[in-house]
Amino acid sequence: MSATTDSTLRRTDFPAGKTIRCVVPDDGTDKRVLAELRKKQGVIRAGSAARRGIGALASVKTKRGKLPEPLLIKELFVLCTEDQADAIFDLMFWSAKLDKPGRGIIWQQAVTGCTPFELPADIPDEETGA
Amino acid sequence: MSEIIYLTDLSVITCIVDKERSDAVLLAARDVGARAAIVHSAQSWGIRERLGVLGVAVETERDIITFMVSSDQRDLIFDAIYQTADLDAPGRGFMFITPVERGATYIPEAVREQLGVNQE
Repeated sequence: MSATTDSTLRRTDFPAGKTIRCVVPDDGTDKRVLAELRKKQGVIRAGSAARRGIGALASVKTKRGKLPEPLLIKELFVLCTEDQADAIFDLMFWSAKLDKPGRGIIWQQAVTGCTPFELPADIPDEETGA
Repeated sequence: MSEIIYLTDLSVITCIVDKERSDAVLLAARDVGARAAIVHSAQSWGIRERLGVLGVAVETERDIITFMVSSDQRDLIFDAIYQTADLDAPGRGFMFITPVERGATYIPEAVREQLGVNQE
């Protein structure tokens, strides 16, 4: 098989997509949102990671010229297809209660290519055992 | 449940700098209008071998700082970070801007009214 054919195959296999990222407080919201994404939208290309959040608008006293203490936050990330993006974006927004003050922010970016991801079918679920 | 106001004209600035410079970068960005930042730690690779005497004194601990900024603030904040982090010197780090298709967050009631979006 020639290099050109390989390259063509790769491009077809890895279509464009969207990445949606979301910053939420470290209060278990990330796990709840991930569970809801899996249940309602079947999303498995997702995860969360610990981050330090520094807000200039945070209502904390700081010495002049100093930064406020960072807050421990979680960053959720989801990789999805273009047609799933609208529904997932809205679900994450409402599920993480981002319409309330101090809850965080969500944003969506384009991805030029992404690999598929599937979980093995014959392994029982960690929580339910099913 | 109120309506989501989608924010456009946003960019993400991602900056990879030495840990010891990250506070200065955050302050510089805040001073020119950045409202929030997300920071996480990372380990750089390949730099120790190229810099310093036997690479002993070269710090490989890095901070990755992410700023969500409006497009009109983007260049100002980018320049401020670039200058503060001395990114024109070799081995100091690098930064990049990526476009955001849309974002959403809490919008105060007064702003919603200005935009003509009513809350239930």
